[in-house]
Amino acid sequence: MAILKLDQVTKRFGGLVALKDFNANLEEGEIVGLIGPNGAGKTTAFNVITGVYKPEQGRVTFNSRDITMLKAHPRTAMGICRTFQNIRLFDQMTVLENILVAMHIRLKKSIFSVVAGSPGYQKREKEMKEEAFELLRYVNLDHLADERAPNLPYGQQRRLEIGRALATNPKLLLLDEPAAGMNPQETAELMEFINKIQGEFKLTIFIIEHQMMVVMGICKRILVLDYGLTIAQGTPKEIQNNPKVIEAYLGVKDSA
Amino acid sequence: MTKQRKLILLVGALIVSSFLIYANFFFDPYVLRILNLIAIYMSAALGLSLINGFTGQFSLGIAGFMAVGGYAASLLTLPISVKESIFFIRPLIWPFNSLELPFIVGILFAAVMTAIFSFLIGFPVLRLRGDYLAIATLGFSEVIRVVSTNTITITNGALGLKGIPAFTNIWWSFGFAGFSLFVIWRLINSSYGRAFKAIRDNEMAAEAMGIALFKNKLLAFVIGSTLAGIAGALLAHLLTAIDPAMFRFFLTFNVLLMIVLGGMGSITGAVLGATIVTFLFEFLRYLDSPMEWGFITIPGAPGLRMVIFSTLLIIMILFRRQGLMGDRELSLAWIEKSFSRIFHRRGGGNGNS
Repeated sequence: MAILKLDQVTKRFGGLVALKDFNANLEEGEIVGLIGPNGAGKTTAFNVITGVYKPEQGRVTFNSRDITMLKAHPRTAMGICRTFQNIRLFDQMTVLENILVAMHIRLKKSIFSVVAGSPGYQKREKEMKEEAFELLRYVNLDHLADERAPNLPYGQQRRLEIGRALATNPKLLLLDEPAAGMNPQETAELMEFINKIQGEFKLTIFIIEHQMMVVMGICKRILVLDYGLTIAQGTPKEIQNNPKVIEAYLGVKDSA
Repeated sequence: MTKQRKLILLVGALIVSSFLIYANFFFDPYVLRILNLIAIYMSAALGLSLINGFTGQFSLGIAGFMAVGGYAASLLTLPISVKESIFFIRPLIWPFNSLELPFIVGILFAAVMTAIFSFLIGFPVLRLRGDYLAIATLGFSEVIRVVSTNTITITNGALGLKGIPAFTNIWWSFGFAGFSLFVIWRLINSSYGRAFKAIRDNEMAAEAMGIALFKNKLLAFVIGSTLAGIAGALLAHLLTAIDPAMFRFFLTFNVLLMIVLGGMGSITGAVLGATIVTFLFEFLRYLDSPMEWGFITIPGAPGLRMVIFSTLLIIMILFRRQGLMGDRELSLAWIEKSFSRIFHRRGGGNGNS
């Protein structure tokens, strides 16, 4: 069953068509890649899925519910979560707090019971902290729980961002260039990590990535965008040999 | 909370309350008044700190809400005979003209009114960000002041309200400061507080993590403004006379100075800032009067002490932009640590609050 369906989605910024008639179909449990040259509309596609932008045309369906016009935060409650191309952590908060923020949607306690320190809230707070620690152990950052987020090295910040996204209990995880700026060893670890969380949290993952090693390595299916148009889709093998993709990335051979 | 921590809290509360009891009976009225002012500004600063410091929504409307609180409470507590004598241009409208209620009712009414006003103002205004939000809140604060100058049948216009019973004493002002401290402390260290801080740190990420931006901003705005409104009510019943000119931008600036000086995003910073600024404001009063240094005579220049504050602010921004406390707190864990350092080494402060 398709968990996410984008149907003829078009997004314009003034005269620029960032995304044109974009179709995508993600089956539950799939890892799908989204590639394309810079400015092809990949992040725009993510922003349309997460509700940062509303498309001019087309429909976005999640779990067979039309979410095209829904705001961003209820989508997170439904199970869509993302990471950002340029890391966006909460800079004045600790690693643990960063995770706890993502659990706020599941708090379901009124502000009065929180301020009054009701037993129900205190119990919930304790549970949340335990759950957050468990998650930190899982992403291997538990020894840094009280460290401020910006003090972490780059690779760990990336991992914290994924951990934070996991804390919202997503069904669909959108990763925007998770391997950007990583060395080959870190990249290999990341690929393993993505595969691991996919299985363990039963996630569907949509991933934008420039490092072909990652995309070809973990995605069963790849979509290729260029100037807002979907120019190709298929298995990694098919994509590698697709003349249109090669053209988009490397240009056309001068046939003179 | 550990036993040790409870003990420290208890000892601290005892020290503060015995000091207040002592002050109440032995200090002269002038010093008592300054102490009252410190406590009242503390509550207002904590309210503004929640909005500006913790939620990151730079609001400049605090004076307007203090005005709403001050007027709302005074209209209920003013004795009927006083109401009849001060509203001589146009009579006060019903039902206020026939009411004379206890202080606590006045304070609750002030809280409700500021909550309503801040909700109505916050609803359109909190869609703005940064400088635009600051300008819009400043504008609404001025609107409140101008409206209060012109609604003569409610506020007595520019003449203001006089003869307000002096209900505010050290118990009310410090009691409420303690209450504000408790509420903000609980809130900031809760899941809601983390949501507020997340909005401050990165709006886009906060929304992506499922935090309803507008709802949480409005929540912080209403809570912070309500605290300031109650502070306004206490202020009115301390000074016993209020008029619209009291609630100019100058008042907002003062409260803002407190939290900038103390450190935006620190509760103890707001408390410290309120204390220092209120104290200096009185202490530097002599600067406004004529001075003689040997053979140089400086004629009295009202407002000279504001030069000191401005200089202080410039120095602060140049050398310690984060304020005295930054976004750190003077926490129990810190006190424990310093204590255990003094009294032998008992392992002290494990974990933080």
